Amino acid sequence: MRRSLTRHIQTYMLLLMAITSGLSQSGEQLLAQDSTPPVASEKTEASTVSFQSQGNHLQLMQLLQSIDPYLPSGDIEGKAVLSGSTTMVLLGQTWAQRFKLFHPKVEFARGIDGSDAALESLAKDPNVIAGISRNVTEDEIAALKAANCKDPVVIVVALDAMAVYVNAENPLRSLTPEQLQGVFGADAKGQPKIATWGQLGVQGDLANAKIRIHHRSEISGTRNFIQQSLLGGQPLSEPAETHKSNHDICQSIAKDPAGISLCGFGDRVDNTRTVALEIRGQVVDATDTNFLAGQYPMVRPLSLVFDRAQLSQDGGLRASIIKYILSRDGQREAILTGFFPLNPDFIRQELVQLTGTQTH
Amino acid sequence: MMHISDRRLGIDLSAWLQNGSFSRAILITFFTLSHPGIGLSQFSGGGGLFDNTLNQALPRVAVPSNQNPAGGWPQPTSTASGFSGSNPRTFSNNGTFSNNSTFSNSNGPAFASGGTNVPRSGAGATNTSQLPKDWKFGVAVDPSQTGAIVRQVTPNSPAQRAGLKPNDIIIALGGVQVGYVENRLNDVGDQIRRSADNTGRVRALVLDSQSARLQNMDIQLDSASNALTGSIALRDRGSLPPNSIMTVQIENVTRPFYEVRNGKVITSAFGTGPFFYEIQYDPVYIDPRDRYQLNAIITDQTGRTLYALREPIPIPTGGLPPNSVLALDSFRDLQLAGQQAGGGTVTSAYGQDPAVLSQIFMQLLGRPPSTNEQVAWSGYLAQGNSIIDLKAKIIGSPSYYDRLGNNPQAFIQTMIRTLKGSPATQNEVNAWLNRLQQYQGNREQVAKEFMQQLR
Repeated sequence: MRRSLTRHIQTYMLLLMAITSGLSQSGEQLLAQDSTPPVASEKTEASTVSFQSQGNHLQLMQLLQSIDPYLPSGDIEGKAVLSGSTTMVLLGQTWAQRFKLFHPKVEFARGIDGSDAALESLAKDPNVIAGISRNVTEDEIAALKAANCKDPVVIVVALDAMAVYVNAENPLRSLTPEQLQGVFGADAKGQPKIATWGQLGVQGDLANAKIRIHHRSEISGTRNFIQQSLLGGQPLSEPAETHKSNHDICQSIAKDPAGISLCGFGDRVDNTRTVALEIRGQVVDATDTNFLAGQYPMVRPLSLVFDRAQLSQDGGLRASIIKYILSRDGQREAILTGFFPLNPDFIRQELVQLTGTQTH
Repeated sequence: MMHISDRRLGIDLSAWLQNGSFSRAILITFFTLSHPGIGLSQFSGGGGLFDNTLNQALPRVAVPSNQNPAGGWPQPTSTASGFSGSNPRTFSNNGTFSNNSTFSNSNGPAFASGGTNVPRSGAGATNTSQLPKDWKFGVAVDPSQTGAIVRQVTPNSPAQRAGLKPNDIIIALGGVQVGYVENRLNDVGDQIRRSADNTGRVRALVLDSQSARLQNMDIQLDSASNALTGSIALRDRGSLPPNSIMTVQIENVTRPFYEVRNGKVITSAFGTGPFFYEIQYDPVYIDPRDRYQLNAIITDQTGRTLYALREPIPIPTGGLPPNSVLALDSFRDLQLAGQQAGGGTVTSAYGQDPAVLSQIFMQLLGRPPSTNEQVAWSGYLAQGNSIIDLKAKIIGSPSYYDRLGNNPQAFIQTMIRTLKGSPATQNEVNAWLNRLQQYQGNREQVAKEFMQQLR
């Protein structure tokens, strides 16, 4: 176990280095445009970072090209059970359809819906693949190990870029991490730490207006992401309105000058806009281009949880499924379903984690 | 260790890490996701690992460098990664693709490679990076802090010919340490690609497991890729605008989804041509049971088709004829010819008009596609998938469902109204809700079936 953990740490640490070396070129080619002072940000010296839009098409094509296509390893058959969050089930269905083109004898069954239920299902039956679009806690991993899932592994398979949305009339230019935390987090009394737009530097009519948070009505993956990842498990401040979908949230923000929320990149509707993130004085807009260039950091990873100890028991079925998902076709399907692909280097490292010994 | 932000204008979440629990929480979240079982105490010394995790997963597109007069920019090639190894389906010598089969115009200009354009008076240029080659080594290794520990040596492989044995440790290749170096994995395959010369020779520093001595080995690697080279001409003798994108690819006709690794070259091009290409494809991905063809297309930088092949070139057994030039027609001419023939479609123009995709996106999602989506959808259509497939996939997407409040009934009603052009009856709604249930909630399948019934 210790060796395994050490390897995990090593693997992840080396990944940064791989990216670092590969990206220096990218970083140097960033355009640090002339500073356009954020309309209402406290730090007016921040400069905006964005990429030249010219040539994105070519670069994106090459990004996908640099992910290896799936290579079937012989005839595989059997039945795989995919359980998980609604988001991940849909992705799973898409992947399953494509995987069956390569392996027609494989059958897929939809297991129990919901992240919690999927993990419970995996605990009982280590043959299940659980798709999770929220944080997996240590307690949950321990529970899996204590049950029948002896070597649980979480592999990131796609990315969901998240953006802060406000009304289009809202002059707020950017948010720092502390500001974001202050808006969405609650203090010990359950009150938001930052309650008015003026506290974020907004001037004019909106300055004294209360910040109105819009959330999903149920414990959605997005809400869980905010609480677990942005607030470190701290309580969320009470929303002004709750909604059934991200689309409803954005439509409401379009009508609410004091509204704010966190949704996916693709959820924008008319009369709303995204707020840039301010990182070390650099303002990074929430754009596909910035995200794809690795510059925009707010992302919800979508993952699969499975029992690595079982991989050798099913004739290569689950290992092949995961290899497919991490292939060019699998990553393209993730984009088609509305998400973002992984970095090709990261994919290769995940494959090393999956397969161990490498053949050259 | 050089910090990532030192070289990238500091734009990463490690900066956020310095701000306390916010960043720390993300670090832990992401790390826990990827490394279950590692306790939070691992991070007690500070949050320095965060950017080692999340940043690694983020995709990175190459950013345009200073564009040269030719209008292109050096690009990392599309043939960067992957393992080579023996495979029972490796194409035989007598197979469809002959090694180094060339069908180029011998009188044309030379390759422009290594990221340097070769502008020629009255001609054109393509801009490709130095084409990487895949090499076969013949070892299975486990990376370690010391190097790559050899676990297995393939008989009659370069590794065996060089005298490598199980338990030997490959310390360095081309003078660069492999395995885990300062907690970073330097992959043997990557290092081979970086270090091997054009003929496949690489120097290895090896710790002999029996004598415990270090020794240098000059290893002659076997080629793991086949080359397909040729040139492209514009039939109308037109001129490509700067930053045009030329794509040449080997397509699997029998199973279009079965892509050939490194079977596609994507380069920027400009001018009048001819334009040269070289595909260093991985023969492991060639299945002798399948038929293959060569296709080529030139688009502008938004993906709009400029030139395309009238029909893809079948790749017969024995390879393509030598000294051939692929003649591409302007897309406008092809459309005209298609209309005159009553077809209206150009089978080889897989690039698809971005306007069509935008129209479908606007109709179904109320927004245009992002560049990201546009590229992915083009790739999807290039595999032979139809517009029905495309629409079904969008209708089945989380975005579409979310716009309908994540409500199955609203989904069925809207799908029917959108695709049929008239409101759904209650009977229709009930019937298709049942179908949705039968398909285990697979909305894409339901949409596809509905559209097929409409035809």
